[in-house]
Amino acid sequence: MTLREAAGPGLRPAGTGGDASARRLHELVRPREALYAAFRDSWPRIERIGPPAALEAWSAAAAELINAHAGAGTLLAFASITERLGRDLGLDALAAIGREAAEICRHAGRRPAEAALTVLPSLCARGGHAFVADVVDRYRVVTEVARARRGSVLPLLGVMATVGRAMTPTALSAWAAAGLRATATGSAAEAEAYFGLKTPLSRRVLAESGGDGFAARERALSAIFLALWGIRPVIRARDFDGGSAPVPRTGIAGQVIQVPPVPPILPPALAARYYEAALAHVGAHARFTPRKFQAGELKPVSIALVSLVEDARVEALAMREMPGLRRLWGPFHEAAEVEAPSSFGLIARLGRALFHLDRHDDDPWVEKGRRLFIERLDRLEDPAIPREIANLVGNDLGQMRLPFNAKTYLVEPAYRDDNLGLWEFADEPDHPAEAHEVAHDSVRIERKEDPDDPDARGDPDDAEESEGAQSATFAPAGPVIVRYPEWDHAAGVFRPDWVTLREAVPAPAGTSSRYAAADAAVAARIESIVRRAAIGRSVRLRRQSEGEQLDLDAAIDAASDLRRRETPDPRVFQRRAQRHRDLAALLLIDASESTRRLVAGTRSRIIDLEVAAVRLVSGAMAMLGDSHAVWAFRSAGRDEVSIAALKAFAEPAEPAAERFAALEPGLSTRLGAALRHSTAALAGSRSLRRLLLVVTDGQPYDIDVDDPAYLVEDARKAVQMARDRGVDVFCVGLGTEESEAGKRIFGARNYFPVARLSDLPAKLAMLYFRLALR
Amino acid sequence: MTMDAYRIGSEPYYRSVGDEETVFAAAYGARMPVMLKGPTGCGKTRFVEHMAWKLGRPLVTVACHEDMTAADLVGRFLLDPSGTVWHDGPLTLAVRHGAICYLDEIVEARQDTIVVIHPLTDQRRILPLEKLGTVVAAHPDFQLVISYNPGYQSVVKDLKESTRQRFAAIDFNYPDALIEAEIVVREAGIGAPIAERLVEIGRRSRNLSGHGLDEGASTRMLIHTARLVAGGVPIERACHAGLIAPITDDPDMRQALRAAVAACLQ
Ligand SMILES: Nc1ncnc2c1ncn2[C@@H]1O[C@H](COP(=O)(O)OP(=O)(O)OP(=O)(O)O)[C@@H](O)[C@H]1O
Ligand SMILES: [Mg+2]
Repeated sequence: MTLREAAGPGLRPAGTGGDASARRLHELVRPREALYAAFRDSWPRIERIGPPAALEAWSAAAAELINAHAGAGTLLAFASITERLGRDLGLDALAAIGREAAEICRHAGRRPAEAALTVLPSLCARGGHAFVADVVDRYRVVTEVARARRGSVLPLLGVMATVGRAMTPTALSAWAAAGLRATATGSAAEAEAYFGLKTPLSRRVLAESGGDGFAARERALSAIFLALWGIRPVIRARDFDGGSAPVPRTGIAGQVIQVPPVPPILPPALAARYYEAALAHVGAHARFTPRKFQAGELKPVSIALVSLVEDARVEALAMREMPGLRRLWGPFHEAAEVEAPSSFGLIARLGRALFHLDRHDDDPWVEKGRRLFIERLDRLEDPAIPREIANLVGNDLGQMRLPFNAKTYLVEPAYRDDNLGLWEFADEPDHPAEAHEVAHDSVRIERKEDPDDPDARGDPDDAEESEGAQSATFAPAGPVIVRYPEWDHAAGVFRPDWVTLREAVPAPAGTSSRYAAADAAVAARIESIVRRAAIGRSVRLRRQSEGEQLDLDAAIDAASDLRRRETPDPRVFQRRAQRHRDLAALLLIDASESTRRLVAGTRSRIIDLEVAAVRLVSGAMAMLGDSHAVWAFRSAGRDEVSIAALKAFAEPAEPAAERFAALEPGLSTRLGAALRHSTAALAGSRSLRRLLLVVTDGQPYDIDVDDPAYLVEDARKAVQMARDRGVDVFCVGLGTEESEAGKRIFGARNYFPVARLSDLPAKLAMLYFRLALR
Repeated sequence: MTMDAYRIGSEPYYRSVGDEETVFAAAYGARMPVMLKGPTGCGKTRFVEHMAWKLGRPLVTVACHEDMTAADLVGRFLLDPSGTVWHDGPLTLAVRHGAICYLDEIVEARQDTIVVIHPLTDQRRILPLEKLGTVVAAHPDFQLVISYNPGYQSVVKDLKESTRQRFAAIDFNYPDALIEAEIVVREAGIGAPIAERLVEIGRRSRNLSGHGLDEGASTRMLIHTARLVAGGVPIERACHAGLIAPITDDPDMRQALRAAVAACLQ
């Protein structure tokens, strides 16, 4: 059989012997009639992409798909994406993708393999430009997941096609690896939920691992906003909305700025500056948009036009103050989608013309808008301008009979906000004008994204309502760690192995930043104390019996003593010594039921304040490099004293906010056992100084103890034993009422009552630094 | 002992920003101790120099630091061939000869050092010299001025209430944009447009004080930067060398400052 016969009419020989894979592929395809017909049609176009060596690799990959029983649909999908994207990606890359698809098929089956291929175009931006370099690496991630969790491939692909697009492959791979680890012992459904971004853990990991994502840059971006506008912004990343595409624009909701968790699809140079540009635009609104516009009976297209002119107006005003913003925003206009069908392209083009006022535009409508805007430059502060111009150009647009679909309209360029924050939509059901509906629709869509984040809605009430329901955040009865004896003061004996200590890992709750808003002033103050302490300034030790230098004062005193024939003090030297910190500290938080009470005059519960304070101090300790841990405890009888490690000694940095947020109070305070366990942990430390700092709101109490003195005496015993083992124990007591028990347990000098709870963070920090320096 | 070394020859340039000269002159008239409060580099030292010149008093300036002892202020015995001789410290010098004594950044000194000024700041106006076993009554023209940076205070370092309450206070802050630009033009010898840009940048950096930065760029830093520009350094580079790099090593804060510079420059 000659080559030509074997290959069929579609296949032209590419050379002698260099086309074995191509031939083999045709042999495999030919027996499958329907497939063959379609395939023969595609082949010449694929072949033209070349080069021959890559075509060989591609053919081998296609053959591998067939051998993996990927099915006709998969093979045709492979051929069709190759035709579409082959020139941009190159056949070699597509061959690699095909091989990954075959591997996916072997582990997870046909459907995932086919889906993996059909999702490819959405991984590449418009026309496939720019982001293809690492597309293959993303496929490797899918393959990894397919190997371990076949059912998770489809949800994963959904995520990749939406929010995952803007992530680096490394970030994606880190997220997937974390998911496989976290669900290793769980059910398939758990894994699917993770890979579908349906669990809080999954979202958090994704937000934190996305290199270009908001989470990694939050602090710098907030600082930039504050520097430019003098306003401390509240910026929240929108939630990843599993599967469905996120609204890829920023939004302004009252005081809260919502940003996408990762930048929208843009060329990399722009994606890198996306947040900066977007927040600068929001800042311009914050400064120059005096009040919301009334939507009234306005049509959606008018709303879009007014918003567009307002955007241009506030930006122009901002650039008068800060001319450099033009360099930030300009490139986004160059990349904006101005050729889009319908009226969108035209509107975007007007936006560009209003930004580059010095550029003539060939379109008469756009040009008219530009002229109208220029005529008003001398009174740009006037907030009526947008409506004037929108009226004038809006009519013309109407006459052009270009459709405007408010549901698919997307503000261009990408850094601008979705405009919803600029408008007040009247809430009158008897005027069901189209504008209202559309506007309300989109508002609703937007709101849906974070149904369980009370902060993003700026509505503190909801946070409180839900409290009662969620007290079971500590696992009901965690694994037993150890048993401790308890001191029976009446009998004067220890009851051996009396208390069972269990480990409680607080489940991550949905709310992410309930305590994040600790008082900024206090935080700043603590930060500056820490910075000073961290320098580790050396101290001059005077009047030493040896040292590098004479202590002048001491020497002179000695000299005059000598003259007066008195015995001089021989300690006339001074030396410098580094202030050395070698300590291990444990912060132990009382999370018993009583900490659920609200602090008088505030909406915060005691536990919230405890946690906020401890977080601040813990962050400060981390900055100083002090080895420390944060534990919380509560009890329900002697069989169940639960300890949760919010931060273990070994964890390097300040613990994640979520772990604290998940701390729900409940049950009782069996202090002694918690103290014994803390002591055991600290006594094992090799640090010179070991510090145990207890934060509690009341006296020990447990459901199975009647004698009020019993637990107090036991705790007192525990403190004494801790001291014997070289652990310094101190207590910060909240409120004044129960201080007697506190003094009894810890000793009056080691008990620090804090009457005003709002003082707690500063007090706790101060106390810590005093103690740590002692 | 002549105080000539402490006299100010020619008028120091000071651009008045409010009623601070009037208040100071009145306080001096009553020989009331004065505390100048304000962030670093906003003109406190320059103001005292200016007032000393205006009032025709010598000015003794002491930069306080944490290793400073009472002896560093008051004086000490020194050894010489004939034995020990007493040597007046700067404060004693000013007290004896009727100078204005300016204790710069007083909170840096330790509490036990600070207390030596107490008897000087009430009706007694005396300075006990413990080591000599004598007491010096202040010269009628003597006045004590201290400076104090409130943004800098910490739990560790703060003025005691008993010290604070002995002083009249004048609040200083960075001047308004136009005045600050005027000062930069004058001190750095640079054109107004560049000075105005630098002042804009300075104001933005101050937005970050207490939120990542201890303090924003001072007038002094703006003048430094302007001098670098006057010396031929391109402005963006000068901003880095003159007001980003010295302020912070925190990458996030540097990013914010760079953004402010980029936004404010043409
Ligand atoms: N109102 C002003 N008039 C003239 N020059 C000023 C004024 N304010 C600031 N300057 C300039 O700023 C520089 C710094 O001011 P100065 O040294 O007085 O600061 P300071 O407040 O004493 O700072 P520090 O607290 O660090 O000692 C001065 O050398 C001067 O050039
Ligand atoms: Mg806008």
